[in-house]
Amino acid sequence: MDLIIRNGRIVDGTGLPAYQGDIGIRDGRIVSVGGRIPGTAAEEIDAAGRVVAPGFIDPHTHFDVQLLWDGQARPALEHGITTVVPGNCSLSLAPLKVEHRPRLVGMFQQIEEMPDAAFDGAFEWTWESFADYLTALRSKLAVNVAPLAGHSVIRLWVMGDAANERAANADEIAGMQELLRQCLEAGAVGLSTSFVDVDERLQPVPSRYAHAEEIDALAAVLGEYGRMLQVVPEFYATDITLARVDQLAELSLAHQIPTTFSPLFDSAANPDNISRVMARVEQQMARGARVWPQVQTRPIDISFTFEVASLLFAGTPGWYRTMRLPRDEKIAALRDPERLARLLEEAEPGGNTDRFRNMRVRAVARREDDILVGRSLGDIAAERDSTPARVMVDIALANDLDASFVATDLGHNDPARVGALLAHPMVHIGASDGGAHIQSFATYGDTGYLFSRFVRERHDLTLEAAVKKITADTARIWGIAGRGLLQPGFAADITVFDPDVIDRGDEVVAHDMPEAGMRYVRGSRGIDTVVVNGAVAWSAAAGGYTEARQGQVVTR
Amino acid sequence: MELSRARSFTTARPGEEWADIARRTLADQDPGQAVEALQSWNLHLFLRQPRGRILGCDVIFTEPPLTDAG
Repeated sequence: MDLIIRNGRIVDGTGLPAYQGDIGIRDGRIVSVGGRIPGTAAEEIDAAGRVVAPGFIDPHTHFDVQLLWDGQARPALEHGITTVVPGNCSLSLAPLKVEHRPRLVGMFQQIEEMPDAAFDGAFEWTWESFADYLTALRSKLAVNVAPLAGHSVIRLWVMGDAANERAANADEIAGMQELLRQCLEAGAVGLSTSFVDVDERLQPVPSRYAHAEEIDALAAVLGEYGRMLQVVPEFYATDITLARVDQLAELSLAHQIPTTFSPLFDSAANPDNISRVMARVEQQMARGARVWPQVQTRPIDISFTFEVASLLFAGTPGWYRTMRLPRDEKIAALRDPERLARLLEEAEPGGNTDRFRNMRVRAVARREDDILVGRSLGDIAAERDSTPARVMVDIALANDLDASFVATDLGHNDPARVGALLAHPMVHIGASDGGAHIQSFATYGDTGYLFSRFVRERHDLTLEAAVKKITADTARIWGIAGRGLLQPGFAADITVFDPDVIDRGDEVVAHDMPEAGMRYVRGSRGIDTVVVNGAVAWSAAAGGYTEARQGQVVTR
Repeated sequence: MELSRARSFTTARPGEEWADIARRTLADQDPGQAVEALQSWNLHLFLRQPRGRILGCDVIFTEPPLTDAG
C-alpha cells in the first residue's frame, strides 16, 4: 500500500451508517475499505475520532482562471473539495480564438468579478481549443477538474461579433454542434448556458441570443454523450423559473441528458418561490426528466467597497457606471453636488431608504471611524440627520474609498427553510460560485457550513446524508465515474475531518491574487487531511498545502 | 405523472417581434390589443433597455399569471 488511513469512522458516500475501519490506497486508487488492514504502508494516517469521507465535489465554480496559476484552487482544497466543476454560466476559457480573448475577459470581469490582474500576466495563453486548454491545466492540478464548455464562447467562436446580435443560421448551429462535440471528446462534462447574464458593456452575453432551435441542437449533442446542461435561470422570478424547469425537462427527456439550474434561493421577499419550484421539479422528475436545482448552503452576504463595481449596484445603473470610473474621476463624481444628488435620488427614490438602510460598515481605514464598524447605515444616518446612501458616500470619501460595507440580509438566511430544502432528495447541493465574486464575498466553505449548521446544530441532515449529497450524489448527477464513494477501484479522493469541529472560518480579506490583488476568503475548521488521487494534498498536521499535484481532468 | 397546469409561455422564433408573437399565440384577438396584452404579461422584457427587445432565449408568457384556482 502507498497509504493507509486507519481507525477512521468511514462515511462512504452511500448514505448508509458510518462504521469503523481502515482504508488502503495504492496507485491513486482505493484498494481496501473497512476491516483492519495488516502490514504497513509507505504513509499512514491515524484517523481515530475522525470521519473519513469521499472528497467533496463542488459542481458550480468559476476557478477557470485561478487554476492556471493555482492548481490547488485555494482555499477550496483545504475545505475538503477534491473535484471542482468550472466553466459554469456560459463562460469557459475554451474554446476561444485569440481575437476573442478581450471579450471573454470582459465577461469574466463583469459576471464573476475577476480583476484585470487575474488575466494580465498571471498565466500564458497557449490554447484556442478545449483540448489544448486542458493540456495547459493538467500539469498544475492538485484538485480534480470536471470542466464545462461555455455556450457563450462556443457562440463567439462560430459567429464572431454576430454572437451578440442575432439568431444563428443553420450552418452556424451545425458549427456550434461540431465544436461542442470536440469539447466533449476532449473531456468536457457538459455545456453551460445563461439566460440572465450581461457582459462588461451591460449587454446580454452571447448565449442569451440563442433561440430554442439552437439550444435544442446543442442539447442533442449532449445527448450523444449523456452529458450535463447547466443553466442560469431568472432565479429572481418564480414564474420564469418554472418555465425554465419545464424547458429543461423537455430537453432532458428528448435527449436523455441531465440538466441543472443554479441558483435556487429562498427569500422572505418571495416566500412561495421554493415550494412552487420544487413542486414543479418533483412533477418533472416523476416523468423521468432530470432537472436538478442547485442550492447553496450559505446565506447571501455581499461586501463591497467603492473601489470596484459590486454586483450590488447592478440594479442602480447610475451607481454602477460611477463605480466603474477611474478612481480619480469616481471621487470627483461623488464630490460633485449635482451628480451626487442624482445618485442619491436613484438610490433612495422619493426618500425611500430601504436599499442601504440595513447595510453595515464592515471596515474603515481611518482610526477615528472605527466606532462606525458594525453599525448600520440607517443608524448612522439617523445620528447625523442624513440618509443611509449619503452617509455611505461620506464614509467612503472620508476614508479615501478604503472603507467596506456589508449587506447581510439579502436572503437565503432562514435556517429552517434552507435546512429543509437542502435535505430534499431532489435538491443538488452546490451553487457555491467558488472562485467568483471574489471582491464581494467569500465563495468558500459552504461544505463546512453544511456540516456545522445543518448537520451538527440543526439536524436537518444526518452526517451520512450530508456526505452523500456532496459526494456520491454529485458524481452520479454529473456522470463523474469512479469518484464520490469510498469503494475499491474508485479514485482515492478522501477528506478526513472532525465532525464536531468542521466549519467554515470567518470571512477575511486576503491579498493573494496576482499582483497582490484582494479577495474575500474563508479558511476551514476541522479538516484534518485531504487526499487527491492517493496523494496528501492538504494536511493540518503538515502545516497545510503540500507539493502534491495529482489532480486530474475528470473525463468520461 | 400528469403535470399540473402551468402558466403558458413561448419563445420567439428568429426574426419575430411582439406583433409576430401576438399573431401566432393570440390569433383570435385584435392584433393591437394582443400586442398590448402580451407586453403587459411580460413586463420583464417590455420594460428593459432597449425597451421591448426580445432575445432568443427569453420566456414570453402568453397569458396572465395564474390564480390559486389555476
